[in-house]
Amino acid sequence: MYTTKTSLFWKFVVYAVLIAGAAIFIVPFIYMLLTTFVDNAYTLPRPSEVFSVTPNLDNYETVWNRNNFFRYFLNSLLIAGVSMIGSLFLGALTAYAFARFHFPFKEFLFRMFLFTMMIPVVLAIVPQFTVISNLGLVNTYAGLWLLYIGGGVVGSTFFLRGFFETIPKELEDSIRIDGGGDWRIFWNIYLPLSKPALGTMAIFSFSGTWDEYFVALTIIKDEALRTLPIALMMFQGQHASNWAWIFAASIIALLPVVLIYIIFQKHFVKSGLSEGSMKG
Amino acid sequence: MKTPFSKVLGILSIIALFFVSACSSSDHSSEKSSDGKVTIEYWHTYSDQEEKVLKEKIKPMFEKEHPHIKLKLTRMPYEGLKQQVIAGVSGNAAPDLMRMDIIWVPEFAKMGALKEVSSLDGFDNVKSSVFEGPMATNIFDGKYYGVPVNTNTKIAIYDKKVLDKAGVTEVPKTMEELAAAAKKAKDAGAKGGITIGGANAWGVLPYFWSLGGKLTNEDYTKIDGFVNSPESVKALEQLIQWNKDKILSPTILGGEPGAWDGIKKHEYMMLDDGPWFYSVLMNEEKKKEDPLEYTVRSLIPEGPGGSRSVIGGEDLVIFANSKHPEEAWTFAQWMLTEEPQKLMSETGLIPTNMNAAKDPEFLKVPFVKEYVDQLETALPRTPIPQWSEFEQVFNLNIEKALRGKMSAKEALDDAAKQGEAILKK
Repeated sequence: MYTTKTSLFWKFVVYAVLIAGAAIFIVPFIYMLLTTFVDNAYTLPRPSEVFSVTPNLDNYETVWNRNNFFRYFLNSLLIAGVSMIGSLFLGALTAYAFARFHFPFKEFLFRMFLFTMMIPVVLAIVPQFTVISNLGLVNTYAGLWLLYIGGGVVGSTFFLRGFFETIPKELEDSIRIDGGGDWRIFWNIYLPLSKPALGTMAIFSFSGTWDEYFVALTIIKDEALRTLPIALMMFQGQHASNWAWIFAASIIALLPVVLIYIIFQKHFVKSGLSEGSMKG
Repeated sequence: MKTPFSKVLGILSIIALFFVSACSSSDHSSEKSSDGKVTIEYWHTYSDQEEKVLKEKIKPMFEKEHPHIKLKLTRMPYEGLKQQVIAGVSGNAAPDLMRMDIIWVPEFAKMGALKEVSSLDGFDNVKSSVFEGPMATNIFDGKYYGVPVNTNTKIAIYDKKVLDKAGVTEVPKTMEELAAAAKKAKDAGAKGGITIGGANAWGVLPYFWSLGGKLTNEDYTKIDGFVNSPESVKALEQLIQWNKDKILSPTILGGEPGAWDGIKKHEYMMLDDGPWFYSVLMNEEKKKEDPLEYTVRSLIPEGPGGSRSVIGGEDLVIFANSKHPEEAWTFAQWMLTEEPQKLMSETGLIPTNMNAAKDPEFLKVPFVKEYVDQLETALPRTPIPQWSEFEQVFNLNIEKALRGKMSAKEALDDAAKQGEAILKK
């Protein structure tokens, strides 16, 4: 009797904490969503106004047709998509090399890799821009990809190397016996077994470049080639901003990230594939 | 498992290759095109309504009058704009012209990023046709590095309903009357009296100056002894006292409701703001009330220092590495003539060209008269390259003084000391 009571009590506490936690995270989002339904939000609407709105898509429609929003949306999709695949693929190859090959200055090189992660974008932007400019890649997506993929490879290498090192080396032997090389090992063993890590990294990589504003604005000079975060910033006026538009635009901008999350999320639960693939 | 992933990868890389070649083959701006036209690139930060006039009226008009020049307009967002300009200048990718905030001009001039315009043909004509205050914001080291393209300032805007409720029948003319009216409004239940946008130079200076405060000497070479003069200390002490008496709206220290919100809901008595208060709020769709109806405009109330508002606005500058400086200068001169200035003023931007600003048509815009009047006594923020740096010190110390962390004298003495060090840089 006593035990069920306490366990019920603790269950209650745990659920209360979880629900409170979820509420803390979801309320600002709901508030933002409701704000997008308000008209003329040049001043931030008050809670009473926000909670009494009738949902409508007026602001979404305005936003979608303003500041080349749709065009920039497609531009961003292309840029973030290619950057994600590029940095994941190159990162996985590099991580494989760091995890399985022996070569001189391996650790030193790896540290140098990490070192580049510590430099803030704003500090590096002028030298980066000069390099891109000397390569003749200003105002091209190639220039932007070079920077995004170059930056992304470091992160994914760091992340995937650790993961690759947990994969038992013995698995390689089955391929070696059949006469397969490193490529086959990489492609048929490491990549499939690293799906959870790759999925996580894909989300990071996509949302990282999808949100990126500063580098994109610096490299891309033509209005037609700009990306979505630039369109978002255009909604902020010098003297006054319509917050409902900014939030509506942000919600639209959020959708692809949510979609990517849903796509790759199912790979998380499939972790531990290598368990049982070896006899103890 | 192999097929889908590699297929996607393959398709994407083909798309990628296509785009790389497509983008790199697109022609660069500022090059002479085949039809013998010169393209000049113009970075601007006009708002939606202003951009519309720029694209649909200004550009065709200019290109018609100057058939050999093509104008390429690029609208830039504000966020990180300064770094964008710096990256552009150092990477030799700046545009030919830019409309930039007046307070940036001396700073970029000092960097060597801007072309000096005072030695160019026609400069004297331009100079004599525009207001003196805005023109002065382009000076660095005795020379001019830009021309003012539009100007603005802030005036006092009162909420009629709050004034009525407080029993104030006449709009305050002096700072004492303003404080008294704010006190009455508070007693009558208003949430705030005098609404200052924030504890920063742009927000505080109209009051600081009007109450007798100073930032520097006449030729902007000395801070010590001016920003901490007895008059300046007294001005800041007055603001601190107002804040203690709660006749300042909470906005000055970031409190709610916001300035516009408080006026729209008839909770604040007065705010100081630029013409955009009207041009934005009047253009709201489905607005409940017309701001022209529920507010009354007046000059910043006079104090010992007079009625001193702060000048804002933008200057047109030509970059030092512009490939077509001559054509850029042609455009800059043209943009400051009466006709284009009038066109832009339709959106509420105040012309710098004196004839355009005094044009009866422009003065018919219902809210501009008070702004044009206020401009006669308004002051520019110190036009020195180190302004942004000094401003940070000033802002921080003002906020500390208002929050009671420093006395007015301590705050301004410290600002003077740091300011002098910044000036020497």
